[in-house]
Amino acid sequence: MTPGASQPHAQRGESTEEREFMELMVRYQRADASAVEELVNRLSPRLLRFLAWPRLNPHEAEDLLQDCWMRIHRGRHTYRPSQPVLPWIFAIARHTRLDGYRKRRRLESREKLVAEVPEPVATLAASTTPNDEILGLIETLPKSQQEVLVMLKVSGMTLEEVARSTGSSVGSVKQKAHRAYVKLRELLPKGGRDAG
Amino acid sequence: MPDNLQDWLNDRIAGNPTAAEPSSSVQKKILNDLTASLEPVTPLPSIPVMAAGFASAFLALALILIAMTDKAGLRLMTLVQLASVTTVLAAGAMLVCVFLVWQMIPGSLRLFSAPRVIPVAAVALVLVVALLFPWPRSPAFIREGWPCTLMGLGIAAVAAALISPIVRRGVATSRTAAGAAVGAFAGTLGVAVLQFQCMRQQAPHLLVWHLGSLGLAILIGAGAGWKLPPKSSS
Repeated sequence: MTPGASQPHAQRGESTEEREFMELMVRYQRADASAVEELVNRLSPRLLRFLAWPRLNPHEAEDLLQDCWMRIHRGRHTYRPSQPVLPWIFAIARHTRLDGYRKRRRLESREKLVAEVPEPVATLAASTTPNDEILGLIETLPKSQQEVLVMLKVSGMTLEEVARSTGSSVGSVKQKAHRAYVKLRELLPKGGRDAG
Repeated sequence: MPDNLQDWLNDRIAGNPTAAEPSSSVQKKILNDLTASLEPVTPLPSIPVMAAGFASAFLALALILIAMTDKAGLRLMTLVQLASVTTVLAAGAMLVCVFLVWQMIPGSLRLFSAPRVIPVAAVALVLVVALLFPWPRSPAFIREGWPCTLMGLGIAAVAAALISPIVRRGVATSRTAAGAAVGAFAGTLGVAVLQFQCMRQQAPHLLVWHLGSLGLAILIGAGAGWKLPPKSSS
């Protein structure tokens, strides 16, 4: 069983969705405002979940979402009609997320210690994922495996879409996902292992 | 992996998909920002067309620059050396052109893994030079060598200046990787011109001073890509 191939119905549904996205992107390139609106409405929740992973607060995640859409807008001429839209969008989102992470790390390294520790802000990921334990387990995986897992499971992408988004081969994505699953099986509490 | 482990993960990771909706104010702001500067754009050409364009530019620049030099290297190389070096340089240039286009178009399907293929190409170039060219000792190794690196970098700078505006039109993802790809294109062009122009066709000289200029060009390109801001308009 290959990862990402467990939902044939979802994948068949996505191909119709993908065709719709292709048409919308072509209309977007022709400056059709209604296509922009539909794309933003349909893709923003997916992008937000990806950008917020694993524990980003809602405010920061929404800032990243805005940044991501501006990058998509500036680079919309790089979309090739007839090519899948999701890998193109998520390749941009992936770098937005990476730049956001680097920016946060730079800011954190400059921050001075304060006397009072502020109350932790509620995280978007926590509100979307009922099981905090699984988040903790996934965070123990290498970053590249986490990314593949998040794209497959949170963003619902196929192996080829993940490969295109991450600039790697399908074989490499399969390998990373497989390693992530093996590691997760080792780490899972008994209840989870029984499920698997 | 068993299906049910994936189902278990699906349930827990994906959670409730409707819970992660962006706020309406943010959604509205995004739409306002995008529609405010909404103009028709022309999509970039296909990957093969763009790669062929870069390859043609590489060939044209190489021929012009080689024609402007005294072509001492061309006269000194044996037929085997000439054929081997030209083949490896041409293959390397094609690889670099494809890699350059991949950097410009996000989400493009990669036919080969760049981190695996590029070291193989580099090793092939080193092996060809190390096995086919003589290894004499030169007392003036440094004095005779650094002008070649300088010339290689000069050629690379001109080539990078010419293609950077085209590459920057497409980059929406990693600017560092795009900068490195521009550096590799320009550096390979520098090495190609040096190879046909240089009168010191000895392995140590070629490996250190000619290929060194390629390595430096890639590093400088990556650094410039990391530092330079993205092109603001499409």
